[in-house]
Amino acid sequence: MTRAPARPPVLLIEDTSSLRLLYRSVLTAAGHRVEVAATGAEGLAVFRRTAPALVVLDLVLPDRDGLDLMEDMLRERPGTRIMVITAHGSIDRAVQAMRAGARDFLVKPVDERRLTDAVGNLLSGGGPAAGGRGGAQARAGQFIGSSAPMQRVQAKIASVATSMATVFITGESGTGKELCALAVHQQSTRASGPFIALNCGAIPQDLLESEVFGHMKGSFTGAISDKPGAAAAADGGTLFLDEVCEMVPALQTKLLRFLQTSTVQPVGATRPRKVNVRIVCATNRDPAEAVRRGAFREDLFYRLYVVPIHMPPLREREGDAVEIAEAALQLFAAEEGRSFDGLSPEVRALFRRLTWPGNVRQLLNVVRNVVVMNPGGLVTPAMLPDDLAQGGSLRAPSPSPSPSPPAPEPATGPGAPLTLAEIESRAIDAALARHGGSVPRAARELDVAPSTIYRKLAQRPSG
Amino acid sequence: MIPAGFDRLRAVLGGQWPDFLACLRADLAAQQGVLAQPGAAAEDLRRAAHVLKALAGTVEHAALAAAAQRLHAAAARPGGDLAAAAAETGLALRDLVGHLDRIARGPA
Repeated sequence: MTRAPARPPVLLIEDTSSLRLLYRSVLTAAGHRVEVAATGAEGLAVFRRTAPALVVLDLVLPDRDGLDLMEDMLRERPGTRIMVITAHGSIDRAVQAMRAGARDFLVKPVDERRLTDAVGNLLSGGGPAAGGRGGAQARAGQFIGSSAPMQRVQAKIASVATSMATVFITGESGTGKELCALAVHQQSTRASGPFIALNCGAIPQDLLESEVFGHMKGSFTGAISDKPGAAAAADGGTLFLDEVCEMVPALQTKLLRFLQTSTVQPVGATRPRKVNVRIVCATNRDPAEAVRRGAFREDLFYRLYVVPIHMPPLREREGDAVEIAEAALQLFAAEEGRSFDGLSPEVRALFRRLTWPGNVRQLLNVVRNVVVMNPGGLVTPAMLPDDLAQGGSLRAPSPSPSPSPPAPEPATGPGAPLTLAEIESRAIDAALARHGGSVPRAARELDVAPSTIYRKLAQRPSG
Repeated sequence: MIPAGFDRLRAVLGGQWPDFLACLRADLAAQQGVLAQPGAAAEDLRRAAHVLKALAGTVEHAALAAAAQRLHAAAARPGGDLAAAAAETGLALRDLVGHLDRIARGPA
């Protein structure tokens, strides 16, 4: 009997033992094979021995500087994907690392979901790990579901795919906006061309222009070679701009010119180059509201918002949660070499009643957790993560069609008007309640740094 | 009050929760050692603050996160009141360590 070759691991280099254990546990639960190291020297040795698919690297190590270590790794294996972890307040180091070749960065304290998302995204972006767990996670959620809202989405994709029209996808986090973009690409005549995805919200603003349009060697400090940029790399295919509303105004102007002229001019280049690219973009915000606030150019909005597709939240996809969970269960079980008999009636009923605030991504994580933590058999409520089994995120008993999270009362509501501080305080409390008290997650929802919330909480009168 | 992040971390870590607590206790003890050194160098305190910020943020211990942030700032600024910031951080750290020790001892 021959054994399949082991997948390349994720190498985690982190000197703080508790964080190393936590990150390793989170990544292992997400289905990754993880090697760990506590020092730079140990990390380099493991790197040479295991040829990892991805390195997650803390920039502060006891024996050497993380940036130096990263440069050594990239010198030895130039294609290595490296994601750096830096402390809050050290963003300049993260920017340095991105300029030196890191693909992404995370800021401590690291949100567990952000870690698995970032690792999954990097691993599913091609290279030695393509088709690994990240890819399976994507396949598992790939438009399974026969609900009416999803049927409408599929019909819209089919009708728009063959045109050149720009597609603007909206929807909550975890609803599958990137899968939708990929489906548009795969059903188009450009399917044999490249599909280049760029997360405008994950790239430092001063790097975004060079990521989209490229740069010439020597055009700025750290530009050690020519880089084509995503727009040129997508020539003949599709460029997917995720979180497009996060794009800074200066770059919005350049994107508009790109859409008008179909030419790109890398930073430092003297003449533009013609490219043939279809644009698909997405946001989890309300783009019209971003226009009203002045955060997004109106002319760019109308140029991009040609064919809107709204990805429905899982709570509005009647019955799809069970279909997706059953499909994912079989897929993940096959990967883990286990055998599951499906979902028990109680679990099916629970899955139908849950509101799934994290949408399909949350559901897939739950199923992955079940597969990893249990040997097999029929999935019962006892096998589910504790908070889910106890009915977390259950639908409200009211007939409200869209049980959106509670918002702070407006100042114009009944009773005495609220002060600005009270509104802020209620918004923080509501976000904390929605995220089980997790300050990093609440901060992300409120679009502030976690330290802001800590500070606001500390400033409250005691008692 | 038990740090807000403990429930979340226990759910995430499952069977590795006790190992995590042991590692966390050791990481915190190491930083306590740095803070307790009379006349500790600013660079050592800055590094300790760096570690403590990450740990406090992870377990969501607001007081330690805020104190470590102030220590980090004081260590990075010439003339910053390092001794006061280190003392404040030491107090918040002792609170977190106390929680860990109570968990380790189990219910009374």
